[in-house]
Amino acid sequence: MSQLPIDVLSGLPFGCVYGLLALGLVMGYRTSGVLNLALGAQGFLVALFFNAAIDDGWSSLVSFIVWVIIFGPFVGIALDRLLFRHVRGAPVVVQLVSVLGLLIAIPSLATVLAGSTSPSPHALILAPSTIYTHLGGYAISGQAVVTVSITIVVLGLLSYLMHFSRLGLYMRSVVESPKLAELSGIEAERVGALAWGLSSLLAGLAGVLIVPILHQVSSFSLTTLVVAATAAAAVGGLTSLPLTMAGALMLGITQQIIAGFAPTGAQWTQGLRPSLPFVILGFALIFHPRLTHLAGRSDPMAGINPPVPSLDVIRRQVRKGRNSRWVVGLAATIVIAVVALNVTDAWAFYLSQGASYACIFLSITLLNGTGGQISLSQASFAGVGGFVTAQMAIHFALPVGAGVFLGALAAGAAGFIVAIPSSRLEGLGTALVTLAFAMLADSLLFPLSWMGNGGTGVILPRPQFGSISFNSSRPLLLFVLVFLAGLSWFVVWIRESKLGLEALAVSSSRRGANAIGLSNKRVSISIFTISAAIAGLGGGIFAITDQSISPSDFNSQYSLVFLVIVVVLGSRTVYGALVGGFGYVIVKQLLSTFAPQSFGALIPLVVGVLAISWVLHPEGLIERQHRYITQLKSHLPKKGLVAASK
Amino acid sequence: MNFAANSDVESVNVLEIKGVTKKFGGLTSLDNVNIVLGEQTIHGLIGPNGAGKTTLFSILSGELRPDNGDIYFLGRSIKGLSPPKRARLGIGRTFQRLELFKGMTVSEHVLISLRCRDSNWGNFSLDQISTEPIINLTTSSMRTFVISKFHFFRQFSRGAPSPNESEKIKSLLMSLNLSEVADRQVESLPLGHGRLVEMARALALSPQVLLLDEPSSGLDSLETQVLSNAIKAVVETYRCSVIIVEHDIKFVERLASVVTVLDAGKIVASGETKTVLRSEKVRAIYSGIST
Amino acid sequence: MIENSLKDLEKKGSEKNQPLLVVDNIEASYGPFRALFGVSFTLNYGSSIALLGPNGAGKSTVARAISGLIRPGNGHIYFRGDEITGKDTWRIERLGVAHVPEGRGVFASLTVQENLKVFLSHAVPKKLMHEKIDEVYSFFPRLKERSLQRAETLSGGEQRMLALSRALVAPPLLLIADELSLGLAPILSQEVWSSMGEIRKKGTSIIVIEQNIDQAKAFADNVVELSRGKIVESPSI
Repeated sequence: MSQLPIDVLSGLPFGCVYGLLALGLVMGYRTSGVLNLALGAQGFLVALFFNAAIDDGWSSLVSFIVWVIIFGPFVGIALDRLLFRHVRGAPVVVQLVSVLGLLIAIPSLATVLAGSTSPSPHALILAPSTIYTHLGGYAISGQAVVTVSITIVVLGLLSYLMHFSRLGLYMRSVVESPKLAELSGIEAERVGALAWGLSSLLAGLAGVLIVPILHQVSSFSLTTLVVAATAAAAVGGLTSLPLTMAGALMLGITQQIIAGFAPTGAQWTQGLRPSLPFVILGFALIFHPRLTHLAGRSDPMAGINPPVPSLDVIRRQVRKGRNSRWVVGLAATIVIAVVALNVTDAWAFYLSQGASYACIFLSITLLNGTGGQISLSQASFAGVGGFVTAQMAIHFALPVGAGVFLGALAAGAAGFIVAIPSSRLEGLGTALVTLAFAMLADSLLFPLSWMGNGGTGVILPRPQFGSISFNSSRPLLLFVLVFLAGLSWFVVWIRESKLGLEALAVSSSRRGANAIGLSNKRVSISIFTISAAIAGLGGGIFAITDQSISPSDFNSQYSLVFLVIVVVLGSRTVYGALVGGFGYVIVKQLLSTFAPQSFGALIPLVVGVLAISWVLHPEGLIERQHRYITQLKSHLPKKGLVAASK
Repeated sequence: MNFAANSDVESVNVLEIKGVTKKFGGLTSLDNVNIVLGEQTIHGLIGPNGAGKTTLFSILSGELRPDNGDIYFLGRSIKGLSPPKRARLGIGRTFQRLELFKGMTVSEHVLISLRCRDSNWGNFSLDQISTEPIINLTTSSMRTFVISKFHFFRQFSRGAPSPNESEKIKSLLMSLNLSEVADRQVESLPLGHGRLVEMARALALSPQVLLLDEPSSGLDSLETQVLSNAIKAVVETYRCSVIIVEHDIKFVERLASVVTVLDAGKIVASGETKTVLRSEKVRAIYSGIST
Repeated sequence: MIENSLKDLEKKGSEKNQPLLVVDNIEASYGPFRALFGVSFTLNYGSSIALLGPNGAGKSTVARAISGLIRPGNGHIYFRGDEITGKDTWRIERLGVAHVPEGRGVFASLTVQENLKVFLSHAVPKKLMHEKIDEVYSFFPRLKERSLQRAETLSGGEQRMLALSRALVAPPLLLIADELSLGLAPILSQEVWSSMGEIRKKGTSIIVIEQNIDQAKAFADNVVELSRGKIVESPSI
């Protein structure tokens, strides 16, 4: 009985951190329509600098003022100038990739600049672990006092700012309608930049406060916190600041209560506490009336804006003739044969791994390029496929080939379950539901003993077909490459099938599709399910190549990276996925062999910068090259006349 | 409305709007509206800005639900049906702001619509997800899903049209004078053609009713002429009824045999076009309003 | 801003019969939808003009192009001799152009008083703010009663009053009023028109956008009729 008040008290500091992050999310989202999932990375950046400065002998107060109060908002304002301002009103994929680019790039940049990968916990005002007093049996630590009191101060200042100051009034007016505010002479962009600054300040505060609570903080754990905070923001409908704060506090407290009451020992109960926010997020997205139509904001002047320019000028390439298809097929065969027969065993292994990534990337090609949908859980589907493959091989002694097939089925089933709620949502909503699923898979699904073997992973044998053994990597590579070629052909075939045509219709005009009796739900669920199954195949191939699979191979972080890679390289042709898959392992291997260790830390930075540069050229790098070449061709003298007559 | 008397004379009412009321906040957008649409008639729906025409249109197409009242299509209530279901029943529509499929050619628009008409997905009720709690999904929808699982594979049939489909597409595009642009992607077409493509797409459903949302808006006078000829031809060739929501009275006058005038959410007059447009009440509404 | 208020203008001496606003052959489109095909007209200091035409004729688009809400694809707009084509909306407002847009035109989630503070934020000096708000309340006592209510709770007529109040207490050089009487009961509509009369008396030039020809002709000095994005050469009235 006396446990409950203690849980409430010990949940408060967590709730406060969630609250700060959630408030930051809502402020940014409301002023520009961008849900800044990179807020955790911003918080990490600030926390890293803050603590590194104290390591260097700064006093904590000076470090706080310099890094949290000055540098934090500066980051937000700079990001608004450079990025957020330009993606306002852009398609959700573009917004999402720009945010994910930041999420990947900032921590990498930060660790290089600050020279450490994890902020060392430092006290802000009171010593974190000192117990100052006891309240009804609950020991109140310095950190709890600091966290709660800073949050109270921030809340007070924030509500004063929003409700009693001129700036707050302008901010609220810009949030409701930037155009209407401009008609009153308010410079909406500048006010928006201030909102981003404030949002970044809150993120920095949260980062600095969470470090002593968790002791060991990576940028990813902060991103996980941000997704959890999204649940609180979702409770507030992504609009109401007080409701958001209340939701965050409830979240922190409920988590503690669950941890206190749930039976200990069982595998699943350990995952219950961290997965609560994602369950809440999923439910909020599905049942909160305002969130089901995130696109429609209440701006009375919304109709004035010209329609969002379509992502792609040329959606589909002109169908290739039969001849060129044969040429492609022949070329593929030769490449496969030459590569498979000539590589070293080590490289055969890496390339098979690359092929398994290419399979997973093809699932994104299908989902995003053909279906126009976004998923942030493709890595989790791959994980489901891989684990089922491995478990089948171990427990039922099934042939591994059959295991891969069953794994794909299981991933498809998981995809179907996620697709049903996500088909009711649009753009950002879909992204968040899938992200919630990915986080749930991390915390609840993969640790299960019949999935990821309690988090330690599963070891499995290589397949054996009759007398052909795949224990050596070269036969395996040959098999995998042929399989990949078949899968690529399948993805192209779907794009040109009836379903592909319908998917194109649904993604380019949902209302138009409905007007001819086409159910957008049926089409998007079909595409999503198939795509999840393909990702599952990729996971299965990964598992048999590696001969082991563990939850850390396919955690939710990978889903974000995968999406960025495929979308940036171009999700409308299979080449993007193939280049991405092989490029991923080749670059990784080359760097680990030839480049100094510290260089590896820069890869995410490069990926992030690529992602952000993609925002300027949303058709994807591969297709851009392709188009550039076709353009060159059309300028050849023979075709010059034709081009001119157009 | 005195128009109710006419409904006894008509043998079949394609569409019947009964006592439809819709409120937004405190504002009554539609107040007890009754309209009967006969076979093969062109029915104009006019009224000044803010009269409730667009609201009524959205209720007919299923994008909005009425607070009160019901809509009958061929004698059957379609009140709770989603837009795609209404389309499959035979209610086609166009949009004021084009909703074409970017990246598709004109003939592909007709093709995809033809196939929707022919597919058996009508029985599959995933559309109900939006209205029913998720829990019910597992029982009712899953059952229908299992029943229709064989249709699942049908959607992977080839994308290119069969000879039979090609023939249908050809004749449909011919009747709307779109043959020349059949293989052009729609985003390169002018607005006037876009309107015709939307009509062709709707006609491929072989609808009993065609709902046209402000078809003449944004068109120049020549394009308007072409469009109104096309609408006339469509009614004769495809034997469907048409409801036109329009602000341009002259356009409606040329086309519609029956007209309903809305003002502030209420029906002011309804009946034969000439009589209605000449009546005192209607002229009072439009006095001073440029058309 | 303040230096662009009418009083400032009076000090400089009357500029009557000089062009205040010149709209020169502007074109505009929303995506593929072309809304304006070359519209030109001139508005003199202190005079008023009515833009007429059916739904979709492009009246509101002209208004939006003037106040900078949309960028015209072609053509020029001059205000007091300076080109303002494609300038930011807030800059144009600070030059002395008040645009009361079609529809709601108020911030629904803000209270009446907060709405007034936002509307007047750059039109009156900070220290005069309370005085001016009281002035609005003396014009529209109903707004005073509801000053702490959210604007979304106001009736349609009250919302229009609220949107117009900025022009009433801090007369701009140019007021663009888009379909202000639309959907209002006749009595309320009358009230809106009489407030517009008040504003005109203070010397503000006005562009009214109307569907009702009689009302518009009774109010405005000149009439420009639009149809399908073009000016109708010989008005059919």
